Amino acid sequence: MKKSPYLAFTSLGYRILHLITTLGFIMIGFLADVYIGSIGVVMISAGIPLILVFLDYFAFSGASSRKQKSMQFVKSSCKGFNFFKSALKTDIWVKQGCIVLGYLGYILAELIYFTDSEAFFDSFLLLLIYLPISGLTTNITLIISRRIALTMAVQIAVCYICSMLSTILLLMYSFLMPEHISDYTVAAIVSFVIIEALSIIVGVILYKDCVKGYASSFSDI
Amino acid sequence: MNQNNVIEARNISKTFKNFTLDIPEFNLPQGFATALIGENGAGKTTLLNILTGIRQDYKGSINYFGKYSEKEIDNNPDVKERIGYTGTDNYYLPNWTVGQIEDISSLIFDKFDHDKFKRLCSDLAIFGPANFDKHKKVHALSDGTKTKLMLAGVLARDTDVLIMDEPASPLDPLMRDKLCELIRDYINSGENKSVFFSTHNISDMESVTDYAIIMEQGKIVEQGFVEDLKEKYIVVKGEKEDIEKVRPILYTMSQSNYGFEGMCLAENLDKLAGLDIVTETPSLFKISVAVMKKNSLIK
Repeated sequence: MKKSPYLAFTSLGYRILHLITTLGFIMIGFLADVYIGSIGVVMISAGIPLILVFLDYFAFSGASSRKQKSMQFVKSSCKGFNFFKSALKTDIWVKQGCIVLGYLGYILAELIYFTDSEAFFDSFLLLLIYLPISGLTTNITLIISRRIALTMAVQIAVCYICSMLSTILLLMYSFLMPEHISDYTVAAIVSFVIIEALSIIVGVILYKDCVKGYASSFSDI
Repeated sequence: MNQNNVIEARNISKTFKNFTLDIPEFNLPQGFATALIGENGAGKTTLLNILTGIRQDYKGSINYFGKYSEKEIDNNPDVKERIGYTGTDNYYLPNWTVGQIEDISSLIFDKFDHDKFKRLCSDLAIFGPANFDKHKKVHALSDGTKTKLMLAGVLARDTDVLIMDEPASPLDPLMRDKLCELIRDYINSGENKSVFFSTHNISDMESVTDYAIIMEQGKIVEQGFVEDLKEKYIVVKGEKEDIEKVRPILYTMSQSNYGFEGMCLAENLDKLAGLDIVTETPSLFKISVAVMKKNSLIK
């Protein structure tokens, strides 16, 4: 039976590391929320994009670069373009899935240990904002990092930038947030819609940028 | 359209900053092994990339298999499906494993034979004495082994023409001999199978070369069946005192303390009548070097 393009394009190690990252952050989120409170969510917000962008080095590094000569094998096939596009698309979904699941531990801890429904609703509304912020910063950083075939050292630096960006956005948002966000439910949901829409738009740009890079690599290499 | 050409290209041109590829007419004869010879920067890789559809920013027209134009190379699966291509470095992603290459090959090519791929990997000793190791990463392989892996991948497909960029360069002498055997077997494996490869290792590949194309500075400066080229040119050796007399007639010449050795067109041999010279049939290597020397920028 033939594998899906994503499974064929990415190595088993790459996929296992995504799974470990997700499981790790579920555990971190859970423990952090129980022992150090809501600030634990900052760890997730900083950590997940950092690791996801770093792991990208092992599969799609430089994928949007016109100098991606390494794709000659794929380019020599008529089906290569669609294969590459499918692998790219799935990878973007997998990364967003990792981010969503990564916050699961935090939600579980809130559900189990904090029975106050109002406090839980507050936390839930906050997560609605934190989730797309992580997705947005991850996608923004991937657009930049995939445009250049980076060395591992530079990729690590890019990861830190992504992580810092995510944390700064999250802290800025928290700073601006009223103490009881549930009093501003509509505003919170509107914020979520706006940031999620931005995240999706940037995700589409990330995909199109890689596809454009692939297409343009048929010209001057 | 000549039925005997597997690929025909007309007025191909591609301009870079300091280099222009300009080929008014190119024909790849069907059923033969054709060598593309030329010094570094002559435009060999650019030409191969254009013919395989990896480079598409050129002017000119190409006809594949007598029925498909260059515009169909990405729309009609039949074209790229029938062309097997191996590049130089950067052909596979370095992080890919052999297992991934096998999976991707079966996804992007219709006629990929897994068993044949494994058998070729074993025959070419890609994993040394060890068994097939699908977890082996490309970056862990030597340059020669990467080339062997490319060959295994491309030969495991059912293609009609093989286009290979410098397949012999990273290989050891034994493997070059095996490469010649593989090329010959491929051509004999069916009707009208053709091979086109670029090479700097002319001597090693001469036994398998039927047709040769010599490029210099983006242009084809000589081409023909090897046997015809060997009749067209002739090696001339003679005494030191005759050097000045033969210089205008010889195509190229090198001098030593004892005399000279040069190449001339066989049709000009009459002009050397009366001189104390020895002639012999040139090898493809000598013809290629003479033609390249004549057209090269190297002084």
